[in-house]
Amino acid sequence: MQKLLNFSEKLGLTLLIPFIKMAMKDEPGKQMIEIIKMLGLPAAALLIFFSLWGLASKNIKTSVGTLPSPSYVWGQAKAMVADARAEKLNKAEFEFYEITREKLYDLLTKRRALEAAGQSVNAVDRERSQFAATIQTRIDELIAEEEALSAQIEAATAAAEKAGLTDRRIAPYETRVLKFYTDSKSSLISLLSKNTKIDNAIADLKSGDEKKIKSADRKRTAYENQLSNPREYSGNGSIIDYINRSIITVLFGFALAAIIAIPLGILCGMSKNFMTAVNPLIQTFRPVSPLAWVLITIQIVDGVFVGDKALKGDLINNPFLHSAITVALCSLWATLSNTALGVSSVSTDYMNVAKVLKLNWFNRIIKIVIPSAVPYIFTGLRITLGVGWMVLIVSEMMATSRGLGWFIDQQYQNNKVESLANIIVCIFIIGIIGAILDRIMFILHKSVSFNDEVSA
Amino acid sequence: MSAILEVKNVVKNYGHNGHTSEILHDINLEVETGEFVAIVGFSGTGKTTLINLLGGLEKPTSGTILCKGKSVTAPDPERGIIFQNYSLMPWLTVRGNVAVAVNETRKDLSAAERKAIVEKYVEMVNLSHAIDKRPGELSGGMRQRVSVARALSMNPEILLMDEPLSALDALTRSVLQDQILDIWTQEKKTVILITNDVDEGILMADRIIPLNIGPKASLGPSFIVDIERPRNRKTMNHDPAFKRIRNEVSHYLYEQRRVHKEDADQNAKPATELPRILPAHALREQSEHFAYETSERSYYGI
Amino acid sequence: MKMKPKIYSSILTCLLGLFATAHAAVDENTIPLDVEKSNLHFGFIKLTDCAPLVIAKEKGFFAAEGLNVKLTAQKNWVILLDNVIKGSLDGAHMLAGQPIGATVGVSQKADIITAYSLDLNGNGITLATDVWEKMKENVPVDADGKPIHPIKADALKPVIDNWDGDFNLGMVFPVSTHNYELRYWLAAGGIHPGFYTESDPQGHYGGDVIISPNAPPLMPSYLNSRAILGYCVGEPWNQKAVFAEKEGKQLGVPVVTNYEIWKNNPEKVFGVTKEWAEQNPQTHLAVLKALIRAGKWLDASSENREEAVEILSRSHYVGAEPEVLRNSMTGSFVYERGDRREMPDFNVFFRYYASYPYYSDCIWFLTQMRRWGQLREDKPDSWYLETAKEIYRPDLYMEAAQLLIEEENLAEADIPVGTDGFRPVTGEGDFIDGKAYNGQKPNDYIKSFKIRSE
Repeated sequence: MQKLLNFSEKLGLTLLIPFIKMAMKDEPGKQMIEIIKMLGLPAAALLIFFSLWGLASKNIKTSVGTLPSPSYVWGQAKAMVADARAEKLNKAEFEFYEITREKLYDLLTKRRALEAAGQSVNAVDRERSQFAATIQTRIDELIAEEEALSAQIEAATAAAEKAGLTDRRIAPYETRVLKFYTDSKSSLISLLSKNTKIDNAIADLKSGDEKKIKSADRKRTAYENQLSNPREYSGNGSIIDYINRSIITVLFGFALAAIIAIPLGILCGMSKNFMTAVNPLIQTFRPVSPLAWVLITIQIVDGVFVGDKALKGDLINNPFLHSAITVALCSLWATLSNTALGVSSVSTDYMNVAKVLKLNWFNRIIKIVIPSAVPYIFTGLRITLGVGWMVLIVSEMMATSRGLGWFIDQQYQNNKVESLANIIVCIFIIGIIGAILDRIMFILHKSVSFNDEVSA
Repeated sequence: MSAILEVKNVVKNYGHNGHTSEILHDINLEVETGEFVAIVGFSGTGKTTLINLLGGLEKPTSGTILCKGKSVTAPDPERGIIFQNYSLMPWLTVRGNVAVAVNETRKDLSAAERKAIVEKYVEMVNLSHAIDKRPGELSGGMRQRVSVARALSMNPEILLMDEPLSALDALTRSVLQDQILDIWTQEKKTVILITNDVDEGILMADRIIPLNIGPKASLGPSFIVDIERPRNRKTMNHDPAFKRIRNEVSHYLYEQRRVHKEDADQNAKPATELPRILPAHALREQSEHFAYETSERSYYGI
Repeated sequence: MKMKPKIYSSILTCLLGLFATAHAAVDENTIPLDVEKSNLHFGFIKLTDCAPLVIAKEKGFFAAEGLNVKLTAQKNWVILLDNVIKGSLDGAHMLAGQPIGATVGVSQKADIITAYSLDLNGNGITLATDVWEKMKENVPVDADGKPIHPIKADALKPVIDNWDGDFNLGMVFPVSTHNYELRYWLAAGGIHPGFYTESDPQGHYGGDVIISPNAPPLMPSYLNSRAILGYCVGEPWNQKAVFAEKEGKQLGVPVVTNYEIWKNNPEKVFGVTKEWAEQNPQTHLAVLKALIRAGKWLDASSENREEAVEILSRSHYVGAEPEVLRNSMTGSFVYERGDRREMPDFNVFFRYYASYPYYSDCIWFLTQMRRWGQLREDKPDSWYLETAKEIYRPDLYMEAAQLLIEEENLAEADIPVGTDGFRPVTGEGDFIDGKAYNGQKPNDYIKSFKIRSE
């Protein structure tokens, strides 16, 4: 129990402490009051917040309509989750299609090879027709799914009509999935039809009609070429993808900031002259807005990674670098100045010990200066990550890196109430992730600080 | 026996902006090898400055300090210092704190040998059970024992102790006094102990030298403590020699203060100027302020 | 803005229609080309006229050609063109002026070509309600007391002459149709819109008004804050001013559409870099085939338009409410509240050979660039034609169309067979000022304007 208590204290989970103490029978009455305070006051504040919001939503007119109410936003959050689920399914369908296409293409290549070698193609043709039958089975399954889904949507629509509901988000998951199933079905049908056309062309090749043979050969090659091209996933992604991308970007930018700021900060703290030299630069760059940094970053990165050198990965691409570097540029200052402060304010006691031990310059830095500055460095890193997360959203908007910032910007351009509600959902997501990141940094900070109190 | 440490006509000034004040004035001292000398004085008289000079952390304004006949210009592990505030590295364990010293001063030894030395000294101060704890988890007395172990592990010839026990409660203090004496007996080091406690000096030292009240503090006459060792703190209170020495030293110190007070009253100046050092807590506040300011600036930057 | 349950039914019909029409039908006759690149990435701006691209993807026309296309909304026209130039996009929905401006170096310099016009018309000019009220006194009315259309800038001139302070107007982009249309309309009414000069690259020199580019979605808010007193922009931003309110009145009044300024004027094109087109000729043809079919589909029936509205309203395409999109996609236009007029040709994707890239369209933009000083020097008529031939590629369009005709996916009547690449000389009612525009004689046309940069 005591351990659990220490653990909660360490993690700053102040909410748990009275519960644990109560379980330990440590002044249960007092703990009860504490719990009521700790849960009740935030709950009351939340209640007031949501009712004010609810009131405001009835009265405030935005440029796209009335401000969405809390319940409307909640509905939109659910629709976004539905979207994410559907997107996952879409990816699975895409993978299925790709595997199917590859297999079919393999069989056709095998057939070509056998033809060229003058061997019998019967076996491979049989295999191909069996495979076509399995594709057909899948198509039938999809048709059945479609029917079931559209029945569900119809029922939901009828119910909404009856209830006189006024929003558009009826059966969002089913609607999306229906579309994906339809797309998937069409893709498979088109795969099958290409297979059939190749069969027809092969049949034509045997017809003996000179003209027919020529065009059949051309057709067969064209269809086979089409089947040979691997597809890239062209879905639009979901909120989960945006969140992942944003987190990876901010961590990348954060790491970059740390790699730049900590050594520079150590230098600044070690050498007064160095500090004097670079201080004007630091003071000048520190207050610069991400909006300005991102534009310069875009130009520089696009100048370096240009043409064939451009980064075209799904994750690591030019816009990713734009936003990550912007995050680093805006956020590294806190770590830089805190590291410098930590290093320059290393206790004379430690330095006296170092002198008595005759530690050389390098060992003094490694064994005394840096370790004693670690709490300061972590204070800086915590601020850096916080600032970085704030800056990220803006930089993603500007750099069109497909994270949360980009998504918000897209929604803004949609100019409708649903999009406004989506933006509000994103604000909550951003806030919650920011708080979690800060909590993680808090725990790290606490674990490396020896005696300083770390404020939660 | 010859003098291992000789201090000749040492003067130490602190000064800035043309205004200098003489902290130590004409200090002369000879310490024999293996001798245990206690320097007793009121706080603010420049005791820490004296230890820093002996240790080589500071340089005298004039005069010379010789250790084994060689001039002291920089710190050296041959003169181990035990600091008043322990000066342990809070990020290292007990083992780590001692190992820093051992690794640095016994580079000729293998890792295993060094490890053995670390453990030996930690055991000598009875801290084997806490060897893997960090200073933050230890009491004040335990921390000072770590500091003692660290100083001894460097195998110094002279141990300079700067009020090592002044921050501890009476009980812990007496336990540590005994422990230091035990170690001194075993290791036969030359010791210079700075203290504000006359009894502590009499209990531990061969010779007591008062440090006159500063500024311009100088050393008073030596008082030889001719009490048989091992000394027993319970019975010693009734020892006539103890009473005599105690009377003599106390009398000398009180006389000093009386004279000094009269001087001070005449000159209407504060008795001692506190050195201008930022206290540790103030430093921390400053740093927090700094961090806050940084974050705020960044926020507005957006 | 409440949704009537009726709308559910129509959305549902669309959805069900979607799954009823299998793509198999779409690629039944298609003979695929041997494409160099099958995974393509196109950019678009969230405007209704990106429809042919969206429809080609969603209705399976791209897939029929063996193309796997990803469509990504771009933040603005500059970033969009940048992405095309640096190759992170294979092609994009562009302002008609963009490939032209890029090639002749009026904006970012790059060789961009187009072989497909996405649509005709679709813009309007909106003025602040108080400006309109002053202007209305000079506008002739019909028997019912409604203003007679088209409303000319002549009525605005006295208002501006007596205006206290700057008269700021917004448009979309320096080489966009909106800029040229707004200037054309003003100048036709005797109002000097300002010239682009060496010393005034903003294009304000000598103007009675100050015209500056702004982001389309922000125009109504700027109108509201009086940062601008009017703007020329595509839909839905004109209709937005009708439905938005300020001091109990509508925020702004659309006074004229670009259909009334120039009947069936070119608006957006599908642009790729010259380099890309040379490296991927078969792919380019396949894309054109799909786009032609998408354009045809869009203009084939009102049911198709309704379905297109549903598809475009999806969040990752245009994303606006279906009601708003429907307004401009289905042929009526509200000027003042209570003054809704039929506009069957407000958005044309295929009719009148809308998607064929006429040299004369390109040359018209070049004449306007010269007229307003973006092109500083006089050029011979031959230069205009040569430049147009570099940028506009009806040859590629025709090649793609021929393939479609062979596949029986297109009728001969759908394309201007035998054209020399020039639309007929415009007639009396085509331009608001009644000018005859002959693309073969651009210099004569430029010289016919009273207000023009020397």
